[in-house]
Amino acid sequence: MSEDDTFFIDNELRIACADAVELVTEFLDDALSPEDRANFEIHLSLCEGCQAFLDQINRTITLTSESKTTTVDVLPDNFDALLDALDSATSKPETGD
Amino acid sequence: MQGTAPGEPLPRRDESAVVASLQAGDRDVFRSLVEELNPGLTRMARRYVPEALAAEIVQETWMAVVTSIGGFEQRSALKTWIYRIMLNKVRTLAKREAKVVPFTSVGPSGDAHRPAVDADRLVHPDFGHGYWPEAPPRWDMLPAERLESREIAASIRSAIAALPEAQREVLTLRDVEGWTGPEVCEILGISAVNQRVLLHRGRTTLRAMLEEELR
Ligand SMILES: [Zn+2]
Repeated sequence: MSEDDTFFIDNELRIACADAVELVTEFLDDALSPEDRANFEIHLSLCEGCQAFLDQINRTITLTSESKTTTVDVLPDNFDALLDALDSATSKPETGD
Repeated sequence: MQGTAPGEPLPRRDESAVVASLQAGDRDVFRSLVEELNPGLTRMARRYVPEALAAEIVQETWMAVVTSIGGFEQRSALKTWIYRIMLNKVRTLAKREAKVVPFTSVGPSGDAHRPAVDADRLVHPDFGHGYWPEAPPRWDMLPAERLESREIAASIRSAIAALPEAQREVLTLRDVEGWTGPEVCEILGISAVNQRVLLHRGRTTLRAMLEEELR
């Protein structure tokens, strides 16, 4: 909570922008308490700054996932050795009971 | 892409058949498992050590999987078990190599309490501290070529590399590899709250970097 909250208590924005921007990840994960969620949504509906911030965070997430490098081999170089090891690790010993 | 909201647990696949096949030495099942997980494992390992070392670690990881699959009891998801093997190896190595790996110690440390937006950005002429004086720039107005450029992707990759380790791990798994919150908590052994705090710090650091880059 920022120090000016007491001054703006009961204001129509419900919470300060400084608090709203800290709730974004929890909001996106649907992890806010019903009360926090209501405050956040009301704030957002009235605050252009926080709407733009939420949009930036959503775009950051998309761009991050698109930054993934694709120059990665699907199979490791030792794949044949792995197959051999799989054979010997999993070959069932003859059970002669 | 699946239509599952982040943070919502994916319905856990019933893996007993897969595990049983692996334990019986089924090569096709093993190949599909490797094909599914090897790229992500390799990308993750490269966050800690240079590429050549990362490739070695991942090969060792698969070897460990092959030799211990017989004793795997499915107390965690198969994917989680394999990632943990890799992370144990790569973290140990990264610590040992810390002096030669330039990026491990770079980046802001102890910034868990740093606000998502610098306090001096949030000073409104009438409302005072804690409120936007004007909305931050809209990126939806930017041309897609700008936003989706190689330069931006490269900047994001180096900004991720510069994050403190815990943030880098969470952000990579969540936002690069697309894992769910519960999956990340399981593999890293952290609480849901801690996971979200780390993710939020990581995301807001990247956002601030992008804002500079795109201005
Ligand atoms: Zn606001």
